[in-house]
Amino acid sequence: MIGQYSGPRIHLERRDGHMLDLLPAYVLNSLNKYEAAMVERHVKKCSECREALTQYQETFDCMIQAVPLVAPAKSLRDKVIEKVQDTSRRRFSKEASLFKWNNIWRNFRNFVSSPIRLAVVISAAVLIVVLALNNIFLYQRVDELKVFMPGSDIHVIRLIGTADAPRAIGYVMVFSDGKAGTLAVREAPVLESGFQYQVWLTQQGQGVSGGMFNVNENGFGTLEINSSLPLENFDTLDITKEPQGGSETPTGGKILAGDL
Amino acid sequence: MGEYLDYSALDDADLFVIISELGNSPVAELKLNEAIGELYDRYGRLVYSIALQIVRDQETAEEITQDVFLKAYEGARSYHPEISKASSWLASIARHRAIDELRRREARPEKDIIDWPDDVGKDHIAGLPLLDGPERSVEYLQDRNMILRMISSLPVDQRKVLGLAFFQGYSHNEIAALLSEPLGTIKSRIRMGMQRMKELLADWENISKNL
Repeated sequence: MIGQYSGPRIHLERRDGHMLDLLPAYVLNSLNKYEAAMVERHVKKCSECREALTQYQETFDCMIQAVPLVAPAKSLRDKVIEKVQDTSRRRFSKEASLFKWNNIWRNFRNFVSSPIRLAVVISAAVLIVVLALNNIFLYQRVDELKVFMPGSDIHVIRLIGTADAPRAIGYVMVFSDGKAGTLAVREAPVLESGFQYQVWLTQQGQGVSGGMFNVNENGFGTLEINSSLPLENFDTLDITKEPQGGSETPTGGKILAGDL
Repeated sequence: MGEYLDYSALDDADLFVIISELGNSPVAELKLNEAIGELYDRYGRLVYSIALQIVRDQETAEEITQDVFLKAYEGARSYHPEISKASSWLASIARHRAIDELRRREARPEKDIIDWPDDVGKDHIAGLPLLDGPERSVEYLQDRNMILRMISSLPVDQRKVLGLAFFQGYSHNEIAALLSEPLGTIKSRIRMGMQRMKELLADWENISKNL
């Protein structure tokens, strides 16, 4: 029965509504995507073509035997197992992570199922947002201050008004070398003629003059302070009212004071 | 699953069920290795041989073989023994994967060297020894020789287009362009070639039953 095939023996197998002609090429994967999709749709509803497709598939399976079996390297078995093993490990690792997040989400949903708890969660979320915005605002303020006080080049000492001048405020900006600074005072009492303010740098109870300055009608005045010693060596900085030209030691009332 | 299981005693369908179940258990690594090893022992040579026949490169054939068994592991749950044999399923995956590799590389052999294997009387193919094991049983060799005879009985033009489609995954249009033949002619040759093979195999099956 199995002999030399002689001459063309045409089996068109084309009957209306069937796709028998396309089935051989389908099992060989030689159809384009459109044709293959058409065949797949058709065989789902046509038992005749489905049966024929099975036969062609069996024919194809037999033809696979034409491939000569060769012996691969013995190491291939281990490589196959290792690849499957690696994929399996990665898959379970990924699934475990996904499972954890799913659990968190499920617990959260259970928690907020009650209206009271939902209100608590929303309040907490609002609070978190407010705090976050506040933090952003503070960061911006810090950035602004950094503009005025870059790094450690300068530090500021605040002077507090005494009972004689409760509204007076003063600042001393001390530069990095520590021996020079700039004093700025505002709302100090305006002095009558013949008087000045004098700065005193005090160390262990002994005061040395840091200079004299006047204030304008708003009580604002400035002074550049220069010292032979670093200002941090002194204990306090005081400002007193003194006669024009200054005094050897403090004689007038103290209006501002601060620790160095 | 806690007891010792002789995987070699399982049939293909049960082996795939076990692989599918082990694939859902993160603590069954050793058993999974054994099950995949058993599947490889049964069909590794077939898968590798198909890949090698198509790509003609041992290293690539090894990569394809690894991918095929990985796909078998990942798709074990979707394997239906009532629809196809395990060998057919794996062979089909191997063939598609190998053809994809050829397409990806855009490196297919010239049309003139595409033909069906003719290894009768040979000991080696592509530098590798032809298999010397259970697969080379008398029954296997008889079946294989018969298949080769059937294929060689086809007219040359039909055999050639079947070879181009079977081993290279060429489409109708690609074969027509390659051989400079009308598309309709190519379609007819493929159809007639496969139809003839189907008839010859049916005849052979009938004869075998009556022996």
